[in-house]
Amino acid sequence: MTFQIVPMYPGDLYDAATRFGSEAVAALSAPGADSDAVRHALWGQAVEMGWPAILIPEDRGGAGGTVADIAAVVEAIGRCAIGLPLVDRAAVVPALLASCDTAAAATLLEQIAAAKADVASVLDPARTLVDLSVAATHYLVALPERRVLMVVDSQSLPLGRKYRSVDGRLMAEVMFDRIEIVPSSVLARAGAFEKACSAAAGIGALLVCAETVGAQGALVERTIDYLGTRHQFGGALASFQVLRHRVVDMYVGFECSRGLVGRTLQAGVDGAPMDARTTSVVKCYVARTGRICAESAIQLHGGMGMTEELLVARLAERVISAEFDHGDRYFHLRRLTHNEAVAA
Amino acid sequence: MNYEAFTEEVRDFARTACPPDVRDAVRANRKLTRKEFSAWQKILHAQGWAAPGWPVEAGGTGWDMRQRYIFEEETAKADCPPQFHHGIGHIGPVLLHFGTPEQKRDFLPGILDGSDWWCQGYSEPGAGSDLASLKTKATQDGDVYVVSGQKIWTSHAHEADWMYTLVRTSVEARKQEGISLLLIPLNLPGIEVRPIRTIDAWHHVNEVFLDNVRVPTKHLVGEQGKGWRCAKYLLDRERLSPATVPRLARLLEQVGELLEAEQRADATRDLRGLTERLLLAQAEVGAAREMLLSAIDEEMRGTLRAAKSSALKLHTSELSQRIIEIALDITGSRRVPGFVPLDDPAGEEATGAEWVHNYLFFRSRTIAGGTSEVQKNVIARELFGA
Repeated sequence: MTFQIVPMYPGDLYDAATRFGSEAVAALSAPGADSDAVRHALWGQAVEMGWPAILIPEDRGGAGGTVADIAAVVEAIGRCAIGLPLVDRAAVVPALLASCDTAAAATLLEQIAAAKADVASVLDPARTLVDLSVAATHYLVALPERRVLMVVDSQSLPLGRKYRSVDGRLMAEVMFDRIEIVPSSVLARAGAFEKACSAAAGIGALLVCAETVGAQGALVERTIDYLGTRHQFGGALASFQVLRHRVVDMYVGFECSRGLVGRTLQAGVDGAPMDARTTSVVKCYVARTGRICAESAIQLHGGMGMTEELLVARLAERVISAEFDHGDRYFHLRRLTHNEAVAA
Repeated sequence: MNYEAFTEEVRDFARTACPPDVRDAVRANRKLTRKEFSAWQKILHAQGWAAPGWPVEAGGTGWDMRQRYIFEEETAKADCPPQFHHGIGHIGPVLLHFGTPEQKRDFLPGILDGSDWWCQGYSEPGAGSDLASLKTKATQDGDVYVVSGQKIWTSHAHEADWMYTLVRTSVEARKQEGISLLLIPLNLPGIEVRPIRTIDAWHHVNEVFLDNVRVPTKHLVGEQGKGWRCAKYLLDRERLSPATVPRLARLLEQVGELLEAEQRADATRDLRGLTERLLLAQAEVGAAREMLLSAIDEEMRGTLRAAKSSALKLHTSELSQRIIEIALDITGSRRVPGFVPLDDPAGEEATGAEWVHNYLFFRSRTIAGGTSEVQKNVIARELFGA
């Protein structure tokens, strides 16, 4: 057995998600698989496993779990690059709704916990695209200029051009100027709006980092495995010092990311208020080590590292893409250097 | 040689001779195909400039290395396509050196005017960095070789007419022995070209499966079993690539324009970090240009050391990755999620995502044509004398 990393949150949730992840990779790689249809089916299983309800309080029908619980699942499936919108549906959305003091928000939480609604968010101010990889029943749409958070049913969200993202997700432009504010659909306004968005973006950013830590760990393991089996010049590539050292660099980056993300999540579990500055530092740091890890993995796999067929290449694509979810390194550097007031 | 007058002549040609649609594709950093490359090659051929590096008697320009550099610089500045290298840069020079008079007569004209299109059948799944361990087999049967095996990373095989291919005609004690260079027309029965999907979402490379393909023995280049010499010939001969630094300089200029456009579009966006990276890259490109110019001088005086030309290749490949990464960071928040439009998967229209395609494609610059690790070993052997 080649080297295995130690996850941040080992245990039953991690193991169950790992098994799910392996089956998901197989389903997505099957010849002729329709990735959108497979993802939709996988999401159905994820709902059955109760993942969108992990962070929903028990009094709303959820599991009343902590950020560590959802991080365990996110880290495990982060090792598989399967493109499920877990961070959004299972963390960002519950965080948004929990922050809103309205009956409508409470009802939505109950519906998610009961698997009767599938709610996604359109939150990220840095871009205007929504992830359509898995269908949703409702969208929570943040309109920063109007300082309003609104729920829109999926038929009513005005969409423009559709794209594939670098990591293979189906995305669409949201036509914000065609969204009419319907008072009964407003979940939060003004200060409450900003507080909700900030909390949700913070947890989204941290969990995307947890996903990246998962991916980095898998990149380290798989690169070690590949170099051990790939033979050129009469020996395994793993015997070449330069390559060994580069993997060591990847490993050190992984352990640093894992430590930083784990520490920050644990503070959340321990009840400390989410510190926006810390979140930005972590997001910048993981963006940097993640990209270096991804680029190294591609390089160490040679030509194969450039192919979609290889899981390592897809993991690398996802790590590179994940930086741009909930703010890239420059977005967060700006927040850190401009000392923008962010409600915690 | 009046280099100033020569520069003006080339500049004039570069600014006027390239069709606008080809120039637009180059300027947008879109994936270039046979269509753009061959259109340009035809125009160069009509001008008498089809082969800047070939001897005059073979259809070359007779330019010295400095003139070749001026040509590359002016065509890069004017967004003319780079020359497609397989015909003019690879098999053409090999045929000039090793080919029979018949082979030169049959193949060189089509290479010069761009009417024939070539690809390289070298790497195999088991023979990447260790190319000499290749296994595609060629067995003589009368006046044909029967060829079976598999090639991989065959750039543009899907567009090519011919594949110059390294095959194993015998097994010898040294694996470099027993390799032969065969010219294979891709329309022969038994050949299957299968696209490889790469992370940059553009189609460059393929697998080529050969199943008992009957290739006339007259398509053997040089001696049977001595094909490795043909493969090494170019490495020893064409040390300097005068095109790389000008193309890099043009790319950097465009990234600078992209940064300025971004600032105009969003005055609130803090671009200081990216500006710093751009400024550092400008210094690096300046340094690379000076290194190239001094290498050109040395080449013309016959004192150029292999370590220096290899170092230039190695360095520019890594520098190109750093430059395109700046563009990734300028455009990524929009273009990483909004990468390939569903209504235009082949990228007929420029979208701005070309920066992201190129960032991903450039990851192969330190892999293809000899990994950086292998190149460093080659350089180190010369530096250390062992």
